[in-house]
Amino acid sequence: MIEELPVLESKTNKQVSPDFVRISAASAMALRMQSGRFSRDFKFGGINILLNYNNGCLSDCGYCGLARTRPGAYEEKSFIRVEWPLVDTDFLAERMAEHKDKLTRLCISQVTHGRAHEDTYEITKKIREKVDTPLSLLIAPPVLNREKLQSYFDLGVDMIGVGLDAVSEETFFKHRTDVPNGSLKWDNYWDIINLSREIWGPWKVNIHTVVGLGETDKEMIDCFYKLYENQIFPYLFSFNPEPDSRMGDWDQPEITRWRRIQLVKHLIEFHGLKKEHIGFDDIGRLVRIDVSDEKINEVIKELDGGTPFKTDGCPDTEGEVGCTRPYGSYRPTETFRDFPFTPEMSDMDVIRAELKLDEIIK
Amino acid sequence: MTIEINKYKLRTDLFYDPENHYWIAINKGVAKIGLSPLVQETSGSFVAIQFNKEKDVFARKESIGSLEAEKHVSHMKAPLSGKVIAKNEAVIENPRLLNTDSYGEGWLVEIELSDEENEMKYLLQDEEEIKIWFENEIKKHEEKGWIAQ
Repeated sequence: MIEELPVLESKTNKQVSPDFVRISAASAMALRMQSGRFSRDFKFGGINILLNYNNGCLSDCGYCGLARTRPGAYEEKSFIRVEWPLVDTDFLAERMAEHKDKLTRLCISQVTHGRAHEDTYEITKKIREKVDTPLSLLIAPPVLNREKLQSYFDLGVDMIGVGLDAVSEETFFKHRTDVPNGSLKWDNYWDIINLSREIWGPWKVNIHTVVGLGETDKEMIDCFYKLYENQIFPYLFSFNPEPDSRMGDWDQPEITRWRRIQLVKHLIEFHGLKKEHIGFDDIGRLVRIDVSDEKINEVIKELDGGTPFKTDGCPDTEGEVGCTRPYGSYRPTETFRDFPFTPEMSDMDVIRAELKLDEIIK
Repeated sequence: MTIEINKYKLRTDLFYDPENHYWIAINKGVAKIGLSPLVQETSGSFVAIQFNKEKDVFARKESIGSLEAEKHVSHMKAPLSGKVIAKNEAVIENPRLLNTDSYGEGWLVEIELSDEENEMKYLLQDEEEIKIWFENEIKKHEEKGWIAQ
C-alpha cells in the first residue's frame, strides 16, 4: 500500500484543480478559446486537459516539461513544448458542449499530486454532465489504487492510459528521480496497468511508450508483444526534447529508426507479424523483417495506405483515432512524426524514403 | 492615426500588403516590414524565425525565410523587391515580440527597394480600401475558425 502524497497547495491562489485546468494549445484552438491555426488543413477534435496545481507535478521525469526539478515557476512551464492555457473548468465544460459536434475524444491527464484523484473525479463528473464525447484518463500510478480506478470506470471513463514512457526498468529509473513519498516503483506502474486491464477489459487500456529514451529496438518491440498478449495497446510517441529539461539537449530518435518501429508495431498489431520474423543485431537494433509471409509482404509494399504512420490515440465513436495531438512530437517545420490525418501521396513518398526498407526487408 | 476594426488596430500612416498581411513603413526607399495584427494573432504564438542564408536580394513574392508558430509555419515572402539590409535581432532572439508588439519591437526586416515605382501598386494605403480589405479578411479567418470567440 502506497502512502498518500502530501498536499502542498498555497491557500492564496485559487486557480487550481478542480476549479481550473490547463488545456493544450491545439485544444484551445479547437474550442476557439485561443486564436491560431495548423499548418495543414485537417479536422481536429481531440481535447487534452491537464490538472493544475501551484506546486505542479511531484514526479520528476527528465524528459518532461512539468518535471519537479525543471527550472522555472510551474505556471510558466511548457509541456510538450507549447503553452497550456489555464481555463475555468465550468467554462471549459460549457464550451465543449457548444462545440460537441466536432469533438472526437476527451482526455484528462493527471499529474502526480496528492489531490489528483479527487479532482480528476470531480472534473470528470462536471464534463460528463455536459458532453457525452468518449472520455479517457491518462493516469498517474503513484496516486492510485483499485478503488480509485473503479470509481473512474463507474463514472463512464471508457479508456485508461498510463504514461509508462520507458519500456525497460533500467530506462525507467535512468530518467526519473523518486517522488516525495517514495512511490515511484516500476512494479507499482505494472500493478496499476494490470488492475486497469482487469477493470476495463481487453483493448481499453493503453500504455504510452516513448522512442528515444535510450532503449533498444528489441526492448521496445518486446514490450509491444507483452502488451498485445495482454490485450493492451502500446501508444507510440517520438521523444521530442523539452527545452531546459534534463534531456533538453538530447536528440530526437533518428527518423529511419522511428518509422521502422511504427511499421513493425503496425505489422504486429494488425497483421500478426511473428516475433521470429524480426531480427536484431547484437546491440538490439532492428536489422531484419522477414517477408516470407505473403500477407506481410503485401502490406509492406502498400504500407497500408499510411495507417502505420498515423498518431496513436484513443478512438472516437467511429473507431478512428480521436486523440491526434497535432505537432505534439515534432515542430511544424519538421516532418510529421505521426500524422493526425491519413498521409497523402507526397507524404508517403517521404515516408518511403525515410524507411529505407531495402536495408531490412529479407 | 489609427483605425479600429473589430478589436484590431490599424495604423493609417502605414502601407499594407494584402496578400501577405504585412504592414510596411516606407522612408527614403527603405521599407520596414512587420505583421498585420490579424495574422500575428491567427498564427498563434511564434517560436522561431529563420532567414534565407543563401542571399539577401529578393524579388517580390520570393521567400525571405520562415515564421514558425507553435502549430503553424509560413513563408515570409518579400512584399516588394529589393535587398534585405536589416533583420530584427530582437525578434530573432524573442519571436513572441511578433505577437506582443507587432507595430513596435516586433518588426521583421528592412528592405532597400529596387522597384518602388512599379511595385507600390500592390500595396494599400487608402483608409477606405484598408477597411474593406481588413473586414473581408477578418470574415475569412472567422469562417476558418482561426479566431477565438
